[in-house]
Amino acid sequence: MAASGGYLEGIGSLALEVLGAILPIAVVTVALRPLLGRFPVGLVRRVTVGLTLTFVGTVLFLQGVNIGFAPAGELLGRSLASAERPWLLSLLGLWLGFVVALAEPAVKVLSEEVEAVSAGSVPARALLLSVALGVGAIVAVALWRVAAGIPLLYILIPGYAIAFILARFAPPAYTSIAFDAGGSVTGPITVTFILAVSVGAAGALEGRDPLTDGFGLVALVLLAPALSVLALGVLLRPPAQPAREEEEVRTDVQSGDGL
Amino acid sequence: MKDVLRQLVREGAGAVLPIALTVLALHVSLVPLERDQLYRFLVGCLFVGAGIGLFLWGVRLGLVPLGEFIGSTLSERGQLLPILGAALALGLIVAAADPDLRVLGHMVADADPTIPANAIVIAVATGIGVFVVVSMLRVFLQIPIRELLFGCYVVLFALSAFAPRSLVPVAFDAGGVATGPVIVPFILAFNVGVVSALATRDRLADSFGLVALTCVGPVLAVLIMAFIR
Repeated sequence: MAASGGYLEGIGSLALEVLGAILPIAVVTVALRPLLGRFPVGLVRRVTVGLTLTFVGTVLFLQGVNIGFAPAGELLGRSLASAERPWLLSLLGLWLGFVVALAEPAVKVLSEEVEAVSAGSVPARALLLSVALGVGAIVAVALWRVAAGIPLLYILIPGYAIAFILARFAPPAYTSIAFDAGGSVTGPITVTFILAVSVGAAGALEGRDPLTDGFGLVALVLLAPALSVLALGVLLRPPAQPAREEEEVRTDVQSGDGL
Repeated sequence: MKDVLRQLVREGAGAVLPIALTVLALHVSLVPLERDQLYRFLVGCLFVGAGIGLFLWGVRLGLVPLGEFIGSTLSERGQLLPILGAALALGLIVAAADPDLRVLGHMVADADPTIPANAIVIAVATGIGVFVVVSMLRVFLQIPIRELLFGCYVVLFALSAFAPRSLVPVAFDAGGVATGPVIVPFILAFNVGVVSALATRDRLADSFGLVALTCVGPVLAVLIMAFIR
């Protein structure tokens, strides 16, 4: 990423790159017109304004990542990994995973969904906390993996095995939410900052390769919320009776889906 | 307007603040930054926060209604092929515009200059486009999501056991990137449009698993890229 220079250095080529990514959306939409017929009044304006905002936002975001976010993450990873106390790296991971998950709006939406599905027996707060702890724990494991040089699949395969086994025992409503839940934390902050910490650490350690050892963190974070939701589903399986109506509604929802 | 702005600030600041405070706390304790680095980080935080707020606003304003409109209009015509074609094209193109995916491309290219950032972006976007189609087909063919996901992951793990080791972690990270802030709202909206226009089955049930299934595509695409590279 960019070395020192102005805060706006390189933003021109970045803008071109993003333009090249956003223009095709407009082009394809126009190309689909024969299939779609008339656009509703106002939609064209909304899409034009929306794409413009997306363009400006993406350029700003990427510039911020290039000049400050990613370099700071890599620097943290490098310095903590090469310090005498490598467990500090995992401790940082625990903290980062925890706060990033707590701050993520999608996790709040997820916990409200689960509260509804469990008919209140899993309070939104409990889920929020367990997802945040789960993400923190898994980021700690991911950074420990970088330091120890353990292949990603050694952790990922057992992780998914546990998820699919839990899915057998959790009530169906939880299962359907769980597998989509992964996406709730793997947003822009995880991909830019936390992954940069991991790649930075791998770059600083003797015998570690940034590509093979540094990456893989996002994949693990994708797994964490699913495990949290499923584990809560198994542990807090509601007793047979409560909230009859809600349960019946839910069963209907699932039946066409085999989940 | 006021509400929009408030949400904008809340989302942007909410995303950036935990990181900013953590880095500042480490700056005064364990990992002091140089003055220049610190300023660049702080300005970077401003850009990142403002950028996230703006592109989320743009997605909600433009891409989500567009996705719903295209999905429902095509479905009303009742022909499968145009729906699938549009799903493939739009999935691919919208994915290529996702900021998370751009960042991943840049980071991989930084770690290994022999892999161009665009190669990752194109591979992942193609994988997403194809799997948006797969998940549409799943709705039509009524394949249970859990069995399908399980099968997909068995195939992915089997492939990655034989793939060149260096790209396996990148491949699975690419799966996580498929849940990016531009891709997911668009795909969900497109699907809501399709399912509500078909109106044959329960909407909710048909949308479940869409995100999870879309994550499979990029992993597969990057693994294939690793084999033929």
